Amino acid sequence: MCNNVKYNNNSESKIWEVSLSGEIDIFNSEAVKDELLNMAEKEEQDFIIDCKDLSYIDSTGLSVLVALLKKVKAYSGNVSLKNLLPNVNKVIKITNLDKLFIIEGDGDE
Amino acid sequence: MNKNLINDKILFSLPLNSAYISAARLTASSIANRLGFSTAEIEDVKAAVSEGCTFIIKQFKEYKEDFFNVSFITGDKSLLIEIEMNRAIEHLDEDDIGILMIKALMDEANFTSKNNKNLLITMKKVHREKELF
Repeated sequence: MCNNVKYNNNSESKIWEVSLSGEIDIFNSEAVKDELLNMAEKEEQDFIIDCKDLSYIDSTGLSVLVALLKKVKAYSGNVSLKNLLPNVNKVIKITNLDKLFIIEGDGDE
Repeated sequence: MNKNLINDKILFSLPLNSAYISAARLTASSIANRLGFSTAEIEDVKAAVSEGCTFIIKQFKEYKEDFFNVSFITGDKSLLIEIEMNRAIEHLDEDDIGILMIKALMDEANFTSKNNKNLLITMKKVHREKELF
């Protein structure tokens, strides 16, 4: 169990509701990756990832999100990111990942 | 900008262990804050320093006993950061996402190697923004 990931399997809407928190960097990104990819393997559902408590994410954390997206797209699912803090929104934009993910909520700086 | 803080150098060494990158981020954040950078500028500096350290750790992960240096040099409305490893890399992947992030977040960013004996990442942030609130 990774402390930065909390989740709920919404069986009605068949969606993985995930909440990321704290800082995700090279130190813990592998653990976050394992957690998320295991969920996608367990139930092939869309993901809605709430980032309101995610204060920082680095390039290795972004790579984890891309790995998840790749896995979810393989079963024609979607990954949405919502409630991005301005600094997280900025790194997602400068890496052009805002074109790959569904971004919900106001993440403008 | 506090004139008493110009031309100071803060230097520390970190082991090639990802557990301590957060220490580099915190230090970067603290110094940029002390220099009067805006919240957005502080976040940029913090992220760029973290990416520089991450790049070094990824490149030299087999040398677990080694250390690398992180220096912060304060300027007039600017902060220069040097991250140096006393080992060289064979090839610099300019498409590395971390390198792209550093270049996008900072005003200047350079990756150099002296006589193929080291890797030096230098980056500079200039203070421009005023706090909006």
